[in-house]
This record gives sequence, structure tokens and C-alpha cells, in this order.
Amino acid sequence: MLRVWDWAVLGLTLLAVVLYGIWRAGRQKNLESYLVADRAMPWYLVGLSAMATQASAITFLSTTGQGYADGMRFVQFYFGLPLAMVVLCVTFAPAFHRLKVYTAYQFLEQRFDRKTRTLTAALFLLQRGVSTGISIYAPALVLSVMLGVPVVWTNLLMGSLVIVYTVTGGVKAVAYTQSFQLAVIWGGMFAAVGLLLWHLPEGLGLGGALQLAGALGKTDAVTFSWNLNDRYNLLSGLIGGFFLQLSYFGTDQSQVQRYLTGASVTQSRMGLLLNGLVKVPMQFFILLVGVLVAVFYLFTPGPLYYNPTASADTRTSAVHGPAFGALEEHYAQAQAARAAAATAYLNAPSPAAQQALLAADTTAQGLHRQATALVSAHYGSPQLDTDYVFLTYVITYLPVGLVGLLLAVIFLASMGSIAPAFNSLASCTVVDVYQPYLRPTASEAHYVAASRWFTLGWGVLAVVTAAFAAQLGNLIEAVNILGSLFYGVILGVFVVAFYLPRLRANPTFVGAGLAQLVVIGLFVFKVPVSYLWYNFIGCVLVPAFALMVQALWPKPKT
Amino acid sequence: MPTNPPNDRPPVLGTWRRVYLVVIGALVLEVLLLWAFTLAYRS
Repeated sequence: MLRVWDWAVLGLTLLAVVLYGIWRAGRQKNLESYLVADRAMPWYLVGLSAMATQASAITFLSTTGQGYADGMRFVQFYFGLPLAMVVLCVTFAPAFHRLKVYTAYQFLEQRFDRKTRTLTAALFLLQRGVSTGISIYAPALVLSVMLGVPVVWTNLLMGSLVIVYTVTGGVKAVAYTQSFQLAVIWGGMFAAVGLLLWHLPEGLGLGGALQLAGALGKTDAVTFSWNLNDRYNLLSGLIGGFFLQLSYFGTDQSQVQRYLTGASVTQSRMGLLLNGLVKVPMQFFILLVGVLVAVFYLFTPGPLYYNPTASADTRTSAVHGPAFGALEEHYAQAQAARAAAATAYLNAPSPAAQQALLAADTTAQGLHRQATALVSAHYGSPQLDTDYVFLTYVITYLPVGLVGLLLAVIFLASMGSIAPAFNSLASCTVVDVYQPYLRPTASEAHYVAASRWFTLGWGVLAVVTAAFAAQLGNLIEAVNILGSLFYGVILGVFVVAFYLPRLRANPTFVGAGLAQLVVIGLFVFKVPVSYLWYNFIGCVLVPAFALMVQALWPKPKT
Repeated sequence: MPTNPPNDRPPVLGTWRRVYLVVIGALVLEVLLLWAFTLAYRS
């Protein structure tokens, strides 16, 4: 359980961030101020805001868990990001700045027509509206388990804090809190790494830890494969990752709004390029934390299953309890054998010693897999514990005060990605739906008030969705894939808008519809293609179908 | 095709083309370093 000082650090950090955001945002009198911060933000705030928007709590929980279980290869997922930033700087950012749009979809009405704008805005509202609830629920669940409080409290705490400063201060409050949040996040993560290295056995150090991780196959940061179903390799990272990041940063309003706040196109470009330069090293560092936690638990006995509540439930279950208890006993022996094999390998590295270490690790992993199967059987649905690994280390081994700070890191990371979602959902609703269809001639003050109400509305909806997320079961996975189903097609529409000036509105609209059907078909019929490629396929199919339709659909005579 | 607004010069390196080349060069360097990292610790 958390100690008083940890609760104090956690509470004060969260309060300080919210008050700082409200203070720095000041008052907003018009839409320009509330939605795009008067287009006056410097490049570093644009860049930090883009980074914080993408880095959710799950980035810190799942990525460290990924490093722990699978090693470094996930870093390749981000190889396409710097390339996407360059394309955004060349194409998207100048176009959006020139036309002074509030949303990315507004641009499409000027290039095509209103129905194309409405279609893309609706796809964004659907995808982002549903996924924001899930992005609150996932970290709220992990934090509730680790803090020992009901999930409804962590869900309400995160959601309501974000609603307070986002409704009050609009996009400015979002950007300023994000810069504060990133400072706390990086302070906390560096402290965690320092203590991790200090907690490793004497004389091991970073070099020895990496040598051990390498022997277990966890240091493969660059891998080569032509298999389209293999998610993380150099090719999928560069090509699939490029299209995914370009779709996300170029067509998702939650990101577009960050660089619309830039004081000039130069400030927006520099902010995006800052993100492009920092992202790969940042992800490498977070994965490294997970790998170091894995090395730490080679020498220090850890739990069989890292979710403490799920472990306790299964252990006390009449059906699965005895088997789980037996596995825990075997696991303790397997961990001791693995620690001995790791020490033997470090003292005299040889192929035989490595084989012995791998065999000991395979035995321990096998027991963990059996435990996972028991926990899944107990709950009647697939369960994983990788998101709990890093926080288990934090809560068990970090000193008082720092535990509170690290928990604040997870809260802040979550808030930093939820706030722009509320903010962008409200912007899109007001600018792309409310203003054109419902109240085209109201005053600026009315639209600002409407933006605040829609921010509140989307916030409440997300918190309510999060409250029912546990009942969604496997839908959560589908929601995670939802983005990839739509992003590529929306990107394809923008590619036509920017690069194929001869393509008209109606063929593009029909082409987008056909491409969307194909991408959904790939998902529904379980075609063995990793979801990373959906963005590429959707993006390429839109112009291809649009060209075909235009060839068959002669231009109406005027 | 959007074009660069007038007087839109980067604060460093003189032209945007050079700035973009630095970013792409940094990516190439990162990939090479990570590959070297992979080879260095692969047993």
C-alpha cells in the first residue's frame, strides 16, 4: 500500500499541473484563442504538445512491459515518424496555416466539397470519441489495482481533472500542462532508471545488464523480415510506421490542432521536427527501462503474475487456487535456477552457459504462461500482466516519495493524451458540425461557449464509456484497431487533395468509400496482414479507386 | 500542391531542404546505431 508521503506527492503534483494550466491559459474571448491559442505558440511548445499527445499512460505501462517481455524491437514501430514529420512540414502544415483552418477537415471542404469534409470529420469523431474512453479506462484500471482503490475513483479522478482545465483554458491550458507534464514524466523516468541500475547486483552495471539481456534475445532493436504479419521489423517500421504516423499527425484533429497553434508555419515545422528528432531515442529509452526491469527480476524474486488483484483472486479460487499455488512454488525454484544460470553466464560467458540460461528462462516463462492461462480461465476472458510489471517494481522497490512521483507520471501521461482528445473532439464538433449545420450565424462568444459545453460533453461521455469499458471485453481490442481501419482512408483523401489536383470531389468521395470497404473487409475476413499495413493499403486505394471512378464518370457539362 | 509562404526561412541551416536532410540523416544514424547495438549484444 502507498504511504502518506507518496499520496502527498501524487496529490500535490496533480494539483500543481491543473492550476498551472489554468493560470497560464488566461482568458479566452474568441474561437481563435480557445481552439488554436491565437496561433501564437512557440515551436518548443508545439513540439512538446505533439509529444505529450502521443505519449499516453499506456506508452509508459505497455512499452516498459513490452521491453520486459519482448525486448527492444518495438522501437522500429517509430522509424517512420521522422519521415512523416518531414512530409507534414512540406505539405500539410503550410496548407493548414495558409488557409487558417481550425480543423483538418475544414481544409477538405475548400478543396472538395462539404460532404467529403463531413465524412472525414464523422470518421474522426467516431474513432476518437470511442477510443478516448478506452484510453482513460486502461491506465485507470492499472492504477486502481496498484493503489488498491476502486477503478471508478481513478477513472473519475483522471477524467474530472482533465475536464476542469480543458473546459476552462482550452488549447492553451492543454499545451502548458503538457509541457509541465513532460518535465515531471522525464524527471520520474530518469530517477527510475538511476535506481534500477543501483538495484542491480553489485558490479553488474549497465554493460553487464545488456550482456545478459542480449543472451536472452532482448536487445534486438533492428530486425529484418519480409513477413507482412510480423508487426515490428525494419520494413514495417519504415513503411507501415510512416503511413500510420502520417495518418495520425496529418489527419487526426487531436494532433493537427497542436501544430495549428504555432505562431507561424516556421514555428509549427520546427515543433514537428523536434518531435521527429526526439521520438526514436525516447522510445528506445522507455523500452530500455523495461529490459532493465527484466534483468533486475533475473536476480530478485518477483511475483508469478504481476497483477496483484488477479493473483489474489486466482489463488483464493476454489477451482484454480490449488494449481496456482503449486505453480507459485515451482516458480520460486525456477527463479532461483535462472538466477544461478545468469550468474554462471556472467562469470564465464560461453554458448553452453547461454543455453543453460535460455533453458532456465524458458522454464520460468512456461510457468508464467500457465499462470496466465489459469488467471484467464478464472475470469473467463484473456488476461495479460505486462502492463503491471513496471509499476510492481516501482511500488515494491522505490523509496517513499518517489513512488508517488512515478504514479503521478502515469496519471500525467494519461491526462496529457486525454486532454487534447477532449479539446479536438469539441473543436471538430463545433467547427465541422455545429457551425455549418446548426448555427451558422451565431456570435464568437456563442461559439466559445458551445466549445466549452462540447468539451464538457465529450469529457463526460469518455468517463462514462470508461466506466463501462470492463463490460466491453474483447471490444477493447477492436477499438484499438479502429484507428488503423479509418486513418489510412482519411490520409488517402488528403493525399488526393494535396497531390492529385485533377481528381474531383465525387470520384474521391466514392473512392474513399470503396477503399474503406476493402480495409474493413481485410479486418473482418481476418486476412493475414498486420494492422500497421491497413494505413498503407487504405491510403493507396483511395487515389487508385478515385482515378478509376473519374475515368468512368465523365465530368458533367456546364 | 502547397508552396512555402514568402519569407518562410528556417531559423537554422538557411533552407528547409537542409533542415529536412538533417532530420532524415539523424534517422539513418539512429537506425545504424541501433543496428550496431543489436549486433554488439547479440550472443
